[in-house]
Amino acid sequence: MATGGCVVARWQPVLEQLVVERYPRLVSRARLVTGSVAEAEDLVQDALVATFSGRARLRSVEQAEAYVRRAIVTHSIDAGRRRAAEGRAMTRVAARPEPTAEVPVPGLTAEVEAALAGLPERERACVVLRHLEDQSVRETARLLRLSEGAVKRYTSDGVAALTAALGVAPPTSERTDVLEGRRTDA
Amino acid sequence: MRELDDVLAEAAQGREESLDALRPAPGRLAATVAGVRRRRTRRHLIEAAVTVPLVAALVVGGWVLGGSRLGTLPPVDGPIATADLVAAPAIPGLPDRFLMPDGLLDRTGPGWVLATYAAPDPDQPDQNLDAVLLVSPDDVVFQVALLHHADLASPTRPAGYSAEMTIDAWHPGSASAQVTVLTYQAGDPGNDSRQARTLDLNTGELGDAVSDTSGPAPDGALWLGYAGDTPMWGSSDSTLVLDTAEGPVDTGVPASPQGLAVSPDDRDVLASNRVVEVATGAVLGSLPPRDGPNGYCATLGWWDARSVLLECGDQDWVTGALVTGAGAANDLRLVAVPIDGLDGSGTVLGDLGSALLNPYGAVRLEDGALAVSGAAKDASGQYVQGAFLVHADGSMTPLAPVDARSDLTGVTVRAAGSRFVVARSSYSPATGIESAELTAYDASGGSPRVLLALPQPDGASADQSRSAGVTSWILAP
Repeated sequence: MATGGCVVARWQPVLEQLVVERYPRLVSRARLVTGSVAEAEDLVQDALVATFSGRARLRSVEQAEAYVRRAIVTHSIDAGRRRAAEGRAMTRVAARPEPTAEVPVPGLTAEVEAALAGLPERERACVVLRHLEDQSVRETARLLRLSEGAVKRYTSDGVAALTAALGVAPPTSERTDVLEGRRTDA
Repeated sequence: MRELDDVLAEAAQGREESLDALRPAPGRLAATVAGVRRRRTRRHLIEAAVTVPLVAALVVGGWVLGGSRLGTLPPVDGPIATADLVAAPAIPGLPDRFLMPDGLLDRTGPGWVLATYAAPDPDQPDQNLDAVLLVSPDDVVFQVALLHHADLASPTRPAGYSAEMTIDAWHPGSASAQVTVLTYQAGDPGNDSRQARTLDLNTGELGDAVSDTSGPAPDGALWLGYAGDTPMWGSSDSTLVLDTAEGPVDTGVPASPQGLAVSPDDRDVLASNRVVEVATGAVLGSLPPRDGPNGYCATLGWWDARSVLLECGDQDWVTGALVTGAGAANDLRLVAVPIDGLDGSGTVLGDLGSALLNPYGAVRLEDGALAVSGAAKDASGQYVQGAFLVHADGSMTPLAPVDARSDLTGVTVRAAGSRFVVARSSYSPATGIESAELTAYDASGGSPRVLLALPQPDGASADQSRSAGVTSWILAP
């Protein structure tokens, strides 16, 4: 009889170390793509489960953090749909942790979070992956299951909305992509 | 004027500083670990279903298993003529298939595939069903049974619970399969239950539960499966219990459904890096330490009946530290270690260099090549998962289709003679279902053939295309 399962539970110490050492950073990244710290914590939990359930080799806490941060953004798109699907089944709430209260943040942070919240979810995800997580157009397309042209369009539209709302300049790198995106549209 | 990138980074930093004292609420980390275990267990159901020799009759707790008939007709030899077959009624989400003619099960042999395929239940919009499908070596798909998830859940469960069924074991020629019925509530992994049952493949009826282990109970036991004809359980302390001919033996070895591997001859079990003799429950030995004579290693499973397959490198996978003076960080080797000499070095089967980043498992083919599932870099340097042929000279050939989907969660390969089948699985967060598509290859050449594909997207959403597919499968050796 042949079986193929992995025998060593090698993921658990990395997961636990990641949560102990990097929890505030992960939640802060998730807060950028959700509406509250409580939702951000749920999203971090989803991203941790997704990341550590997969087959990617997580060789260190640093590497695991990078995976989870990307998963946070990609799962922010799935989260609404999933919770709708689970809606009825989530009636049992006794085991759920108390939501974390919101805490004051610097004015700039609040402004940016509000501006991001005003974007459609795919635009928001593209902007965060491209301009906060430094992912390439190709990698962003792969992570979000979008075409590269769609990533360019979502990103350029999101950047345009954010720069207008915040009164800042678009990133230098984006100017090229925006032009490429417009050419794709033409 | 400031640039957007700088402002985004500063905003993230500001939020992080405001949350500096934040720690996960009590129970959240445990819930996360439980969630990972559950997902891995589901994946394991796709990856680790097995075939077992059919025994005349196996008595477990007074209940008879395996009482099905052995085939009396010769195995089907050659292509199946489909002209006289009756098409099964179309159900959205299920592949095209024929109704199973009488007597076909008796004539199945090596190379046949038995699988469960989940799809939305047309009669109950909020529920899925499991189709049990039989695929011939020439790729004809038959419908064996349809099981509605709504009917699978234990009647003692409150509303809101879902259920699904997976196949654990089947022998070609038999009209009976060993299955697991998993009952769960979304978002509450602590209350999963797993029932071991048999499925009559002729009638589609489930036998009584061999076990009903509903969550952690003081004297609870977790159904783990069979090693040959020996039932395996997890004790309330999560240690491996073997129900031997001399009675239950608690081996004291920690075990979980996704952490067990039974040797090809059913004599031994790998659990928590230890080798346990099935007949007695005795611990025969432990695998070499992670940073032992073969380097930093992880266990992939059994290589043959007397040796275990490891993937080894020169980097500590927890700390990321590279052993001084050793090779490059990503260079990996496949190493077979005999279980009668566990302290020593093993035999290097393939030096994979840095091309294969993360092997998941390997099977040996008739021509001596290895079919390896795992993650690798493609020609453009992208990280892709798939199956690869590793030849005797160490060269590697990717097996089309190489899949770069970000939601691909696993690749499994099994062999029956020169034929081998690859399952590429993915997870749908919308449905909570881990499902796969099956592709068959022939080591002697020819084009790959998709046996059971994922449903085609209907355009509503990308996730819908992942909402169903193969959830467990057997390739008859």
